[in-house]
Amino acid sequence: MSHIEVIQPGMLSSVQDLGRHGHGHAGVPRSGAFDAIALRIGNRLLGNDESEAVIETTLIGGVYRFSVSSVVCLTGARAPDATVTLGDHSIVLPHDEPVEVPKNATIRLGRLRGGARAYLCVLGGILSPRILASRSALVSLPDAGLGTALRAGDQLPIQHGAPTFFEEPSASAHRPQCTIPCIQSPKVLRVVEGAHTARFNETQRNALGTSVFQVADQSNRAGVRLQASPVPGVLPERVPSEGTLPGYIQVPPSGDPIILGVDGPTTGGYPVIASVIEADLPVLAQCLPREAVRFEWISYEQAVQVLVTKNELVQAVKAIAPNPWGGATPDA
Amino acid sequence: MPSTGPDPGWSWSLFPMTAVSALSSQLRLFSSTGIYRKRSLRVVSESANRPGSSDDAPVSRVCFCMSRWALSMTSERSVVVRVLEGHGDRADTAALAEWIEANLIDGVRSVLPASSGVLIEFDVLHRPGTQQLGRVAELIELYEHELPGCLQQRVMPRTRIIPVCYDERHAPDLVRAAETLGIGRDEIVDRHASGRYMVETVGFMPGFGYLSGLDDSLRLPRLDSPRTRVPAGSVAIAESLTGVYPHQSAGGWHLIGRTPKALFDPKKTEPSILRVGDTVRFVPISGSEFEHWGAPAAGGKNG
Repeated sequence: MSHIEVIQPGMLSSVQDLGRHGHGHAGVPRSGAFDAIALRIGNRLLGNDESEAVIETTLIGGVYRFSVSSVVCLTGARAPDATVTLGDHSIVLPHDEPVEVPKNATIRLGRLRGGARAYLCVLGGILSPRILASRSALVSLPDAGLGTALRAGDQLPIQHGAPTFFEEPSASAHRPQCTIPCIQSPKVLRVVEGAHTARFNETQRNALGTSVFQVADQSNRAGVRLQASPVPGVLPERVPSEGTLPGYIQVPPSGDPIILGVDGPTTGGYPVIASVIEADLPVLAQCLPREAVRFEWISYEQAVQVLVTKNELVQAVKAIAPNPWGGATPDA
Repeated sequence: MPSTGPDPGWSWSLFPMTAVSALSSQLRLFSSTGIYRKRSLRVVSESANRPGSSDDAPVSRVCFCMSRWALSMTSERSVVVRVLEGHGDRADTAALAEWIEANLIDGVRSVLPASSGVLIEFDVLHRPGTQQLGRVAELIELYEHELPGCLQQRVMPRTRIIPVCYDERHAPDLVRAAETLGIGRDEIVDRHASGRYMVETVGFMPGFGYLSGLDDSLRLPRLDSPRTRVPAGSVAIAESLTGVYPHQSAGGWHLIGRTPKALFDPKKTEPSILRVGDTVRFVPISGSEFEHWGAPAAGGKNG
């Protein structure tokens, strides 16, 4: 059987694709890769369909063994210690480049740097069963029947056989400069007015745009909690429950904002001061615990423009020939 | 950056004006058939200077009020349609959500009904947001004024019966709730089981319904510190609401019973048995009926 065996799942790894849209009315979060741009770029570099499922890993990447030869592409956060090993021969696993993986080889990702999430994309995608039209795991609720985090011993089905489709290797094809979209510090998340922005006073709205926040340790795929700069003054009361989306910035009574993630609840009753734009959710995905972040208010028009621009950059990425195993060993 | 930015025809900077003209041009389709009533549409535009920005361009909070509905943007990719106060309830919201979902397919990612409004999320790369806003407005107009009542896609009233075992081993908070409320344990069970509840919102987790209609005498604040592990199927109360935890999870409500019935099955086309607007009744069952119901919803080792 063609599969990837999970030897160690790292800190938190799961299968994700572009998510499970359209079931929010049943309380089902959209899930999917938190950094969807990294997933799309990885799939494109491999010549996959953009939406194929990949392994999303968090902070510590894990160890995976391939039962068949394949091609992988690592995107998202850097993994400087990542290697591909067969017997006693190892090569460094480069970033943002397809690499051939021989049968029985083992990939060790190690600690991630410069971001919180890396994506191990595989030729043909991971072929675990689709549930409600998606292979994405809802890791926070393992009993819901919507997938679980990876565990040691899991076998993830993949396409059988070595690649043959790279007929015209074009090393000069468009390579992404970097799949980590934001390397500033503090990281900047652009926001637009949200469902209850008008209920916050000007001081509070200004504070959101000028304060520097710190990402709390308890942050996860459901929500990124911020600390160090609570929204000042008397906060708006709870609001009647209303639909919520990833990126919504809720302000609970403590004043410390919570940014909803891709596994976040589909409804909420805390007032929403602003919404992180769709195009910057990948930046949010890469925020490390205790990292500094700030917000920048932009208009709806600018938000759409940013999304269009980022989408064009992703779509410009073309498949490139994989680095052959045993050939020119890529430098670290 | 690239020359191919968004088509200026739907540029958000021109939003109020463009949106209104896009909207009226679409609604004119109806007026040409003589059925569009312009007076039913009011456009309310609040402008506020964007806070904390060096750029002086104002951000417009735009809200359309049409008959009993208000439409407002909640992000660059979403619109919420709220029923104006005193003009309807969650059943209207649920019906409108179904209508929108059935008729607005292109470029819509999700339609999320809740007690206070319907959130519609768009794929703005697929179709410009203003066009979507116009289409939503058009659909509401059609829904409200043009369809004969019999064609309005009213959600068929559904009643969901949920069996509940109120035995102590499934109701860890029942005794304490009785002490706090100053009424008997059996009285709590009677009042809870005789209630007729309405699904206000489905959210928090897959298949979880926020049910209104709890007897006033059963109101309790949420737990001071939430449990880290609530067994799947637990029936709980908090404040003016009751609900059933479909999956093992954390939770801050008072557990007063447990159902053996599964509330969420991802293998079904419609995975949640609860839908906004449904009526819910609880039917008490004995401990042995609970056991013989079959395996509890999931994670059943905490019984």
